[in-house]
Amino acid sequence: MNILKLRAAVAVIAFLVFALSAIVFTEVRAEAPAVDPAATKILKRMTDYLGSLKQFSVHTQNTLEDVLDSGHRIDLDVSASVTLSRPNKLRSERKGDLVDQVFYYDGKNLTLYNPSSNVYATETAPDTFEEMFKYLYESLGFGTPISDFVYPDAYPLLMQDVTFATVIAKSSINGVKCDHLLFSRPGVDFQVWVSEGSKPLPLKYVVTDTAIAGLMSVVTIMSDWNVKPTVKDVQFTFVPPKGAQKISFMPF
Amino acid sequence: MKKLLQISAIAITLILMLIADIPMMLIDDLPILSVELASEAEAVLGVRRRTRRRTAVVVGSTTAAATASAEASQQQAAAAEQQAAAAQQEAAASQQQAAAAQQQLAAAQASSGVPVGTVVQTLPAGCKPVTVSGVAYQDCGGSFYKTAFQGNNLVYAVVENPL
Repeated sequence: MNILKLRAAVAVIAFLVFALSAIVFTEVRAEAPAVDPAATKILKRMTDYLGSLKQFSVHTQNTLEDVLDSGHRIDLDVSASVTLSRPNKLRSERKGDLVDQVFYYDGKNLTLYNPSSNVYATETAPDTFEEMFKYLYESLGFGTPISDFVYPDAYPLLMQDVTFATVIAKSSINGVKCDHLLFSRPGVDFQVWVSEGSKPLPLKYVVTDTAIAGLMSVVTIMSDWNVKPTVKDVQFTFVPPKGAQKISFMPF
Repeated sequence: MKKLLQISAIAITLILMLIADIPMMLIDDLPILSVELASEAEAVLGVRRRTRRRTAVVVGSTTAAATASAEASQQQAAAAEQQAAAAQQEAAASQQQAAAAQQQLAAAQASSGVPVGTVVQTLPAGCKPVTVSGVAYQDCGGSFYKTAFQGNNLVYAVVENPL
């Protein structure tokens, strides 16, 4: 009788141990890959360095993945030459499938000028990059991928809600050695390629919308970084050329 | 007593087996048993990741461009639908001329050709630039287009006859 009871008790204990270990180690396995400090360290180094630059210019090649109504996936390309002067001046010349225009922001006004049609639209703008990009996106309806790196507090913004971060490998973009990083947060994955050495600059940036089945991405390749460009304030203020017609932004 | 020892031995062995199994699951590069166990672990993570994707909500500035492009193409699609609907209406109106309301609609469209509010990225052929009180329009066979930026795209929006 006693042995029977003992046997039952041992069986119950053994079962409990088995069940517990299964639960505990499933959890451990699931949580093992998380935010790798090696990846966040490189990202922080890059954003700190970009934030420390008073002025810079860069060439960006922006590829927007899109799907036609026919179901075919296509790329829309826009290249831009961006010149930035902190705290609040920006000029971007864009040419490509979608656009042929110059964007001016001098801390007071923003202007979009289309040279081929000789038309422009001007709006009073907020006086910080942060507010200006927000205004661009929310009120005028256009996003600028590079803005993610321009914000003074770029690092906490990029790291917001990040659940997974890792260094993928060493890589090479346009012949420059760099670290390939991957970050993930709900709905969005982003990859950054940061150059090695004393100037940790972003060379490539891919943002993937993981909330849609097609996993569409916006790819930006950055080249010709100049961290000490010759910059004059007049570059950022738009003066309408002769015969230019003023038009407006459609409400968004 | 002998039975008790037997049972405890079995229990201890069972527990030891479980413990011994655990490092196998965690270490990927162990040659024995590792293939099956590692792939199972990845499968679990994969499912988790996929589930997260499905339930995810898009937030943050990083998605701005992607969302904007999707919206832009939606708007284009909507504009195209409007045009198609307008063409259908015109056809229906000219064929039937049944109700008075429909006749009015047809009359309104006959004067402008394309419904007011339609947005296109390229102008139809044969447009003439017209300037009315400092504002530039394109006169395209009786339909007047006003140039504007929609986001960062140059577009042409159909407006009421400004003349």
